[in-house]
Amino acid sequence: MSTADLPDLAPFEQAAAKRTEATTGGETQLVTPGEPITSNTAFMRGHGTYVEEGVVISALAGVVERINKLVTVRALKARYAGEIGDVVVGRITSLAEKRWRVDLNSRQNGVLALSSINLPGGVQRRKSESDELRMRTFFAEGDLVVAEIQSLYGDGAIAIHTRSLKYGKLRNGTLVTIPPALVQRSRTHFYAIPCGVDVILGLNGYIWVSKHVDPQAIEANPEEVYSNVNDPITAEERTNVARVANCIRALSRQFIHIHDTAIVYAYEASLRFPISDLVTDSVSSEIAMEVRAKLQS
Amino acid sequence: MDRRRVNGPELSVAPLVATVDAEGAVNFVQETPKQAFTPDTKRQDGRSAGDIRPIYLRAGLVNQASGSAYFEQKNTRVTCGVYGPRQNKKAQFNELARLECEIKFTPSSCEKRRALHRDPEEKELANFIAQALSPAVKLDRYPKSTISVYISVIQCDGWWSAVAAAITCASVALIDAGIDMIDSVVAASTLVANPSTVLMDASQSEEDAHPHIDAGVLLVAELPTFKSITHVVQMGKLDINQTTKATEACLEVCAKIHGVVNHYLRESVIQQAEI
Amino acid sequence: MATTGLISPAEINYIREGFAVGIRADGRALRQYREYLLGLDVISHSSGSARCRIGFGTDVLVGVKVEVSNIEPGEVPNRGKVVCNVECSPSTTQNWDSRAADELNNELTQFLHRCLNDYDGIDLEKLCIIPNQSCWILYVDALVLDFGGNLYDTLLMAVRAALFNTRIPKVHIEETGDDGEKEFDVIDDPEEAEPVPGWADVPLAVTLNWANQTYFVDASEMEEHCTDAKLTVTVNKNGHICAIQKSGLGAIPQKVYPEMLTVRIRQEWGVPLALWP
Repeated sequence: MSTADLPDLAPFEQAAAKRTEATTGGETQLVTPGEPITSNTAFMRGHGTYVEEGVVISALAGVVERINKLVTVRALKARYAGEIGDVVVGRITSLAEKRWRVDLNSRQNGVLALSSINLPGGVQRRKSESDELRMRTFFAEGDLVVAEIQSLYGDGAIAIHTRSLKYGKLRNGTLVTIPPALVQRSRTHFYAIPCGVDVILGLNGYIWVSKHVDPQAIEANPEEVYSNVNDPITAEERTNVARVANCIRALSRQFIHIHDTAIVYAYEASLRFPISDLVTDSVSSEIAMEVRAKLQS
Repeated sequence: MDRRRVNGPELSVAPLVATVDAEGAVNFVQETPKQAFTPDTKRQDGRSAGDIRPIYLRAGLVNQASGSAYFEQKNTRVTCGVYGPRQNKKAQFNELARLECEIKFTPSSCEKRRALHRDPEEKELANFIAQALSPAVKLDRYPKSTISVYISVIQCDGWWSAVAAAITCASVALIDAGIDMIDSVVAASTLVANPSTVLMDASQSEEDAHPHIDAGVLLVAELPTFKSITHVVQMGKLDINQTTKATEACLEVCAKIHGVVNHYLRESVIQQAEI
Repeated sequence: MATTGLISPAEINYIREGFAVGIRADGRALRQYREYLLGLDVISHSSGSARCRIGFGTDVLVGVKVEVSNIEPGEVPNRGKVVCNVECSPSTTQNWDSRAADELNNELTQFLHRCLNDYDGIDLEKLCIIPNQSCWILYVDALVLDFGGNLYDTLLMAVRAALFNTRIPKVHIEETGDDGEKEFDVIDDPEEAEPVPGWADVPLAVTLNWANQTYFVDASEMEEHCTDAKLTVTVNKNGHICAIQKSGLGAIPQKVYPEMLTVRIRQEWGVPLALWP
């Protein structure tokens, strides 16, 4: 056996080196816990920092962000910290009295109260005891929901609601999980990508990619909100959903913020590769380069 | 060291057997030489290669259990008790019932004394049996419940035939417990001695005569009416033709065992109706 | 990531329908493996080691240690021993039920034990140093570092690679007396060490997942939740089937079963030549 046949001994090291190459290069200030950020007293300390003898020091490993006088550090990978009004995607984990517990990738469980959902049959119907008994027909363990954060409790628990037709149970697609830091707050979190794919960017890092459904169709048929059955999906729609989902995975692997333009650029760049290759190191870094270049121009 | 019980000696020695050679001299040898099977000889107990040992089956022997069964094939003896469906101990909701399974080879069941606690081998077998039985049980009929299957192998004459017996026995016990089933489960095992002798339902001495190095073992459990395989384990190197041949032989025997099981169940229903 | 084994009916339906049309949720074809990384000699204190990572999910590290052991009375007098252990590291299994993790550890350990002990893969007789006295014992310890589906196949790939990488020291045997008593010295020179006899006959596994009237290979974690039954077939380089094991709670129709046994390792895995001569 010649040495040329031998498998590569260090693919892990190489892969790691390649990734670092791809991620550094911007003019961002990276800090680690205990690293002084500024001693300028004009700055206010924000999340992820603490003050010792007048010096603002980082409490996280991440990127320094300055908004006017406020200095914050954002970690690349942290649990999601919710804010009122955020759009999130969550998974029901258990049922309790008059409420569901929801996994939101946050410090504490999310809570969806029975009174915070639209009951079938009438938007403003009062909830009755029979609704309480039928809770599992609305949402059962494992179901995915898209919802808005209604309020925050002191202990970090998050109350969410689905009292709008755009919120509710998710169907016809697949979930992609990425670090929450890669999703930024924006005007809308519901996007229709031109290739016939809908994307819901949950701020908690859960992203729902599904086939495009006309919003008017949902309004016309509100009874379907709690359906567990998928609509018929064509092979083309299925491949497009898979491609977009893998594009998002590729972008997240290269630490690019996920928003509609980035997804569209990545989709365009991805068309010359087979879908299943998109998540490999070489292809994802190539796509990331193209997306970065397009975003800057 | 188990101090609560009287322990046997650490080492055990097989008894000496007297043999008489051609000159009339008596020799003591450790054991009778184990003979490998050849197609033109009958097997040690007089069976031909495709035969299984006769089956004796009874259901409902354990009063404590919701359902039970006893299964005997000559020196292989297995009992099984089924408890449930009863409510899950954990509060978590589950739409399907949980089928949990335990199998224990009693300490005196095999040639070597077995440990009192469940060893890893038995834990794995329990897994196998649960997987073999699950497709047959209508688990969706019993949300939030657990069905427990406890199997004891009282005597084991052939490891894999004992496992097959345990599966069939457990399925009868489930039926005896009145649990909804889509079909019964029957299992058969075979020893494939190279080059291509398929010994159905091998006994311990046959297993010993063909160590795994030159033979393969195959166990198949199936739903006889639905013609679906619920479990299959093969160990030992076989080429694909041997595997296919052995599988077919197992399925054929499964059909025969199903006949026995079915006949017995019918009889027992008639008996109970008369009482 | 944060999956606790929960999955919604709509997701299950989406994934299963995908099998029927041959487009999987991550865009793969039914008979397509994820990209895998294989590293050799990753633990310097071991006699041989390998790490296999498939996709960005399942990650298995295998270390082999070779030691001299005594052959006890009652054991086969002229064979060496292979002792296997598979453990899912606690860092991967925190989301699971503790019993599920234990069961999986046991299932994998027993499976590996059968794969390496019960047929003529590793040449156990050549691992014997002096019959009735001493033999080599191979400790094969696998650690599951991360989980993303298809553990069986990844495990066997890592084990085969680790055995390929293992070197056993040479021994010098000399007779000490007229009564045939023998002694041996282990030669401490790494240059003199030899490969594991018969490593090339150790099989690789292909797990076929049966779901929605079809079967596919290399299931991701989500796909495993949507699978009815799994059939693990291990095949050695001569195309012989070394072990078959079904797992999962569903049944496989008799009609498709023979077809599922016709797996071809090289086609499925795309194994590097050095590992599959």
